[in-house]
Amino acid sequence: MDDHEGVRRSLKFRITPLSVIGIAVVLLLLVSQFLVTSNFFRLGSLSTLTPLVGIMIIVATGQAFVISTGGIDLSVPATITLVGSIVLKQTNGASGRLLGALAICVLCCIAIGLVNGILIEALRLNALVVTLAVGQLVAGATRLYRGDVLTTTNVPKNLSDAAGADVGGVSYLLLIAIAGALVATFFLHRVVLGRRLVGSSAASRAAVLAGLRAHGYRILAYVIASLAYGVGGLLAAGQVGTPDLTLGDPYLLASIVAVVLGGAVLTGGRVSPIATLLGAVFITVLDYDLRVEGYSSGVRMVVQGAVLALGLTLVFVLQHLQSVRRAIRRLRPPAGDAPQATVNS
Amino acid sequence: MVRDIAKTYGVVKALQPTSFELAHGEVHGLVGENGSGKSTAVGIISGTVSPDQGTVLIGGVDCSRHTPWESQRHGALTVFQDGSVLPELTVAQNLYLGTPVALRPSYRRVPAWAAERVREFGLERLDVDAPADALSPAERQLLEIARALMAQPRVLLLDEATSALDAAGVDVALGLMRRAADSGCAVLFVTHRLSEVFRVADRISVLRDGIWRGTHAAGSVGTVRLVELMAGASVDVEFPDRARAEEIGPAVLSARELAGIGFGPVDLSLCRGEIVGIAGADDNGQLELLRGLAGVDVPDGRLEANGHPVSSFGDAVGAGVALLSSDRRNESLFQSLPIRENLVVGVLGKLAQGGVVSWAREKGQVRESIDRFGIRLGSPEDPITSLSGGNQQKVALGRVLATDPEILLIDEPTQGVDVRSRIDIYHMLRDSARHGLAVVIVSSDASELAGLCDRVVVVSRGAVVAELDGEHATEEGIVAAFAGAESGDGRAAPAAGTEPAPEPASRRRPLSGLRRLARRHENVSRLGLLVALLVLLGAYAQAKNSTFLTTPSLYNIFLLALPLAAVAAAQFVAMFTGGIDVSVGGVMGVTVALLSFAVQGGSLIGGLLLALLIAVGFGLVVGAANATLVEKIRISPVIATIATLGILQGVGLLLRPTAAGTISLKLTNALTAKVWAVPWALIVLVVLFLVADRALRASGQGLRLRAVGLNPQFAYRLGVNAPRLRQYSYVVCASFAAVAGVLLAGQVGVGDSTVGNQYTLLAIAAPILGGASLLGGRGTLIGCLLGAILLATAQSLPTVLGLGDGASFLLTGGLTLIALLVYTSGAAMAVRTYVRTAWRKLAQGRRPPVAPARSSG
Repeated sequence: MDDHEGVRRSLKFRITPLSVIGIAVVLLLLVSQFLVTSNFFRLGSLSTLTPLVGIMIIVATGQAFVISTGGIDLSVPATITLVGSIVLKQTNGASGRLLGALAICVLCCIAIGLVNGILIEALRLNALVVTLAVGQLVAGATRLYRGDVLTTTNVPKNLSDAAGADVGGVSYLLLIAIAGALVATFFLHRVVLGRRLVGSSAASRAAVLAGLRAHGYRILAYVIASLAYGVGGLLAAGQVGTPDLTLGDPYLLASIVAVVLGGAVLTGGRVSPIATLLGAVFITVLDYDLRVEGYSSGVRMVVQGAVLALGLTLVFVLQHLQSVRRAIRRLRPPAGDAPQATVNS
Repeated sequence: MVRDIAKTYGVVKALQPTSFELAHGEVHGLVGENGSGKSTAVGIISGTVSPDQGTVLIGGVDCSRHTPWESQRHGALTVFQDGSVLPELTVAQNLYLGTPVALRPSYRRVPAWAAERVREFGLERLDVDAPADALSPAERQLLEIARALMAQPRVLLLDEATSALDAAGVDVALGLMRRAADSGCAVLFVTHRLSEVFRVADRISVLRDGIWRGTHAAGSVGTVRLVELMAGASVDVEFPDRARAEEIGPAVLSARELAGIGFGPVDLSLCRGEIVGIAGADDNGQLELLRGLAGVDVPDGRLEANGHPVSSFGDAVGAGVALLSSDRRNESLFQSLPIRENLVVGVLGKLAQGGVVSWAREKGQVRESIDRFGIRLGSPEDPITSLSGGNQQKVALGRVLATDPEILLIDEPTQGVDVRSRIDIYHMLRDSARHGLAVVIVSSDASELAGLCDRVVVVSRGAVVAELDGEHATEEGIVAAFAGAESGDGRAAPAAGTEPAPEPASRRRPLSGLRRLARRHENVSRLGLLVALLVLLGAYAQAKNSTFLTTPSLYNIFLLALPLAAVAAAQFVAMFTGGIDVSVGGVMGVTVALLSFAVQGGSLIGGLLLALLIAVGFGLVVGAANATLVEKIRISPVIATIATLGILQGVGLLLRPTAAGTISLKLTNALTAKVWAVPWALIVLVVLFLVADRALRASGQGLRLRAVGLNPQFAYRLGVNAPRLRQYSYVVCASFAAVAGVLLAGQVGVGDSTVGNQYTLLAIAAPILGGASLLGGRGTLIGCLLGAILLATAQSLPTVLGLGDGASFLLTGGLTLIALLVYTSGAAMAVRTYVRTAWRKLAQGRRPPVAPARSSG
């Protein structure tokens, strides 16, 4: 009976976060192609759009790691801006010094992630306030580090070249981001460390009682997130060429929106990098469409906020849909199960 | 009075359709074993649980909404099993909170009123002005009974209301019940202590497994008959054979003088191949003991597992101990993960090669577990929630057994499990024991322990009071053992050991005088700390730069603090009821932009009124949106208000893409006008804050708000409409934030919405610095103001000292983190636990290993 039912169930369409956001992205791309710009897949559009999408995917994946633990990370913009500033100041525009700058970026990101993670997971402080305050500290440090006058305002040429490269109009950044999402999926599904991270994120108490060092894994989630912001910041710096103190600003709200659209709130614990990727594509393409149509940044922000609120409401509806379906299923108990005679509460 | 009420939790039928009546002037005893549905029945009548079907009629009136305030209005008052006393409030305040609207005195008279009431009930030894924290558990319980009786209820529900009382206290409580019944009230007394029921009840009803087993006149049944009814004709469960003597191996777990919160000291030893049951009435420390045996929360005493000393749960796991909680939702299963991942989460290391889990081996392991334990499922990829309770429990057990533990500690192995799965689980456990596993089971089902265990340990008030040989243990024998220890006569026996206070004294170290004073006057001490910090910072700045303490410089700080104090007050309102509003900065920004359109000229009074009108109106809209998202759609307040923040920032940019539009000079001048170095507006704020603080401390509504923040569940039970108060707080928060926007506009003078952005963190930081808690119910508005001044000083300090503007960011962020660290009680506790564990490790390292303890029997 199991096999038969299994086949039937796999054929039936299931409302999952992945399928919902997948359909939404396809619809949006169709709208973009036929209603917004008559030739969306033209070289020019693709080469402006794809690097943005790539960076957003990477940053949102980081945020997804944190949100899946039930936390939130508002230190995103400060981290990205810091990385941009380090690349500027440390290389002084010289391509040869890029590697040294990268090493410093990695150390800074790990430090930020550790501070966030330890304060939130080991000392049980409020994630919102901690990440806001740490973001403030990082922003302050960035300003002190940059100083008032910079000798150069351009990132090294090898970085901007790398960030600007594309194949057939599709930016390398998008390819890197897709590869990253695939690697993250593999990590979370097949690597022991990743599986334990998922368990610890999903249910901290259950993970502890199952003998996992749940706090450690949850702190790791913050570190991974911070490193993802770092990579995103690096690529964003390369992409704009002249990173300033506002480099990270667009990523705070958008990364949260992308994660929520990816359904992390619904599934809780299981980061789905692919769903998050689609969420990032959706929010970036939507933003791009609005810009092409000539809407101001104000309108675009309103739309982002509204998409977040609507996305969450949709999640609410989906959740209730599930409980309705569960109730229906309960009315028809599988024939193999014994009737429930005595039940202790 | 109650018709066909029923309640199901997930797959658990807590209460099957049940009807019964309570008559005026009777004490009606309701008895049943643990988990028989008594509390669910009480919850439905009291309005805290909403039934799946059926109706509750009180005095012929249908209570259809099922809220505590509705039941209270109809005259049903409840004393809850786990209490509803808020320890942070005084005795008088607790009494006031639980009293229905019609009977409440004016707030000013509360202490006198409470003293009078307490005397009326013969409890004059309680000091009504002392915090309820200082009461013993028994005094709290008596207080609750008095609180319910004071309302002169038509129906009085007492759920295990004598559990913490000694013999004298029980006499008082039973006397109060009798008195209430004599005055015409219908009393429902829920308990498992049969002796007390027989002393007071006129009629007795029995519940078993959520089914009503009839009502009897107290004179017509005896104890034996009642126990039979409670236990029922035991269900036809075939238990596996017990272990034969030669199957029981050497001791593998030994505990000596083991003690922790709620249990101990206990000596216990456990052998390979045996199943030991821990029995007892609800909440007598069985679960705590079980967790203590696994080293959870670092218990006192000596614990050794499998030859290794154990001082923490981590050690225990290392030594082969596995603990399985009965809380499948949070503690034993990973709800959001599929069945497959649940089954293998403990053995990932074994299935992996080079850190990568092998697909084939994982599949094999899952297949094996499913076959071995007979788990009935559709596909291993289905969510765990698709399974019945029995199959969920098999998955949980299978996950634990897959790790090949030496010692298995299980809480309620068959809670919410159907009969067939139950038998499977018993066989799973017995088979594992045959292979050398040592098992400890905590169960509220005495028949299960009697049928399955080789040995049953009976626990009362955290101490072992009896040990029964499994071969001869019967359900009645076990129940008699703990019921005997519980009722009056058993308490004098030395076995019962610990006195009524369930916490062992060792955990409650007396506080030093200064710390006790600081705790008693928490707000004052926090404000004092803040003022001291301000003075220090000011003195430092003055030492570095002598222009700091001049009128212009101070004026500048106060001006910075002005909108900040207002928005901090707004945030405080949200935080006080346990919420948070990230969007306040956005509200301020949009208000500035709105004013740059609406208030460009005109008279001062007209302008000010218009500005405030716009602000409040706009705040109402945003607040209502936030309240809906958080309370109706139940989105986490953080993410919901981040969405609002995004929308508001966008609206601000839409209104004013660049800074433009001058705001009426008259308005800006008025809002920045000063007397000496202090802006007039700030003085107005101080006065308003003082008044509001006073109102918060000295009004019924303020007290209810505080109760919602301190413990929303208890507040709800006591009849406070917590959801509505939280919605109001979001609306008030947004309105205040908009008024803060008016103050900000007075300083900016031009329509620029981005000026609001910096307030997102500042608005949260100021209340926290001022002593408010993110968990709600704490802090003062004046604290918010001082916090705002501190932050303003921190922001202007780098300029005074000639540092870059980065330094002010560092100061703000640093101050916030420090305040959060100092004032979050959980953080201090976490640090203490880490230190304790580390210290134990050190001490253990120095001590010689423990000799195996004798079996405690």
